[in-house]
Amino acid sequence: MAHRSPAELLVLHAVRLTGFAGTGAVAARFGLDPEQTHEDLLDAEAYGRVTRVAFAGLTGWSLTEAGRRHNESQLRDELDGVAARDAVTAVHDDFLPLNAQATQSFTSWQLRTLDSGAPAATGDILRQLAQRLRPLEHRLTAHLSRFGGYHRRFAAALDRAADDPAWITGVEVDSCHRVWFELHEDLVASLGVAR
Amino acid sequence: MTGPTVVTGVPSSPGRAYGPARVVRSVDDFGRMRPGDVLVCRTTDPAWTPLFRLAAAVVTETGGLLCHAAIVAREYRIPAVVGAADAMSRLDDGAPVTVDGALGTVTAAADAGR
Repeated sequence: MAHRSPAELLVLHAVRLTGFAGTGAVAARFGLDPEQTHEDLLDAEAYGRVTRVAFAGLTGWSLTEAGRRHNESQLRDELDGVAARDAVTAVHDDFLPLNAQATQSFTSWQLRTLDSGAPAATGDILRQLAQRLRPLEHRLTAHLSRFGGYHRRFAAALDRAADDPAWITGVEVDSCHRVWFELHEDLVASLGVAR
Repeated sequence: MTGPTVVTGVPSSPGRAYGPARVVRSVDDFGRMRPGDVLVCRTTDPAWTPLFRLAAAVVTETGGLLCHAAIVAREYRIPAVVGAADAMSRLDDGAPVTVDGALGTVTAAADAGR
């Protein structure tokens, strides 16, 4: 039976994973109640764990250094509490070679786009990575339900990329790169390791 | 006109940009970033992505062509030099610099008087 993380952990972790997001997006990341999330964010702000930042006309929440440390300590306690450290470490080990393929693929795609060439093989490689992502996610969600959704989001981005290439590496949409990088961030944060 | 090359690194996103170097050590420094600044930092992760909206260019001490900073800089079409050793100590906060993302150089502005 997979463990369901408490809202206090999920709110802070949603800020960590999204990097910078408004209250609605923070709540939506793990399907939390928006009003309660707003209260939880104000509490976290009072503790100095999150800060409201305005960037180029956008306002959102970011983790402070203290918030980042608190997030990592919550994740460490949770991982050890459900005895999933070995399983998540093994997934991270299997993720790294796929990550090398993914970042190589995103980079070649961007560089070819800059040269206005045809990004031929990228779609094939990303479709293979999507297939590999599914069992990795299952191994994670067997222990912690909060790891769910990466495969679905990655596959959805790949589908949309057929009509709009921004869904491969774009930063303003939930693109393949964004989803992939978020999983990487989730793994390193959960294990407390450096990227 | 540019002055001497201060740091070099991996050319990761093409283009040339000029602006004051903004040495950002952690998220707690994000509020110091202004539009047109050259972001100078150790490395980046999703929390740092919004800074790319403001930055004229990006210089990181770690990473290579495939790193987060390089991929995001190419999306924003701003020059990036990554893997630039000691950039945070060699570049003075506020000092005007020119970043060439095709050559992988960061040069002091000639008229800076420094």
